[in-house]
Amino acid sequence: MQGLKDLLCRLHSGKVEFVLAGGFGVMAHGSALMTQDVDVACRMDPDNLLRLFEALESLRPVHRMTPQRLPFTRGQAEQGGLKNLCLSTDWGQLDCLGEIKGIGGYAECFARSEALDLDGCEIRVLTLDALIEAKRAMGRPRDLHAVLELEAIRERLRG
Amino acid sequence: MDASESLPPELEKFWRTDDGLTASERAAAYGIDLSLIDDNLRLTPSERMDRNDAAIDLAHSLEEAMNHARP
Repeated sequence: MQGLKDLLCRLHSGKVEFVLAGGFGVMAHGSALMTQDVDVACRMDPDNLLRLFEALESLRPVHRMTPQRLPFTRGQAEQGGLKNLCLSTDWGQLDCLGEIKGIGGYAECFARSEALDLDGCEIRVLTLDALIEAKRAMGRPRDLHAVLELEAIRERLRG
Repeated sequence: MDASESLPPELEKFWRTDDGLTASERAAAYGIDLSLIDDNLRLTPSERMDRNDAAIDLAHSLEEAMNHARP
């Protein structure tokens, strides 16, 4: 079965401009916390949203937060003007965020990101320091757990 | 953040970094199993993602099995 990693590589193949953030990014840095969705900071202009739509079209993307789970359409992508997209696809849940609290929009996230090689598919992920800042800014109990793990990971990596 | 996402007061102190503890000591005091993190750090990010995906698949399988088992 295809999973969240495949979803990221699908975005990469479709030339979607994004930076991995959130719990999946935390896990990628070594946290033991599991997650069921992928959060990415995304350029939310029509060009990038169209690439996103085309990358996901065959995976039947729907708006997860709408009661009727309405489909994400080409028209919505072309229109632009979206701040966030919370999608469910055949390969898992994907949240495309116009801004990451504590860091900023896509450009700020890209500036605070590093390359991550996924078996030949190279994506960008927020750095450990940036993820810690983002999780501290969110300030929820589950973010505290992530912060404590990430800070311990940073300490271990620095030796 | 809704009320269900508020921390018990005794855990609020873990946000602080001026407690004289190292980050690893603070995480352990919170109850985090650092051996899991050390295991993860031996893997590549790609392998960590594969493990996460496999765990989600397993959780979905268990959920389906539970739903079928319920009358």
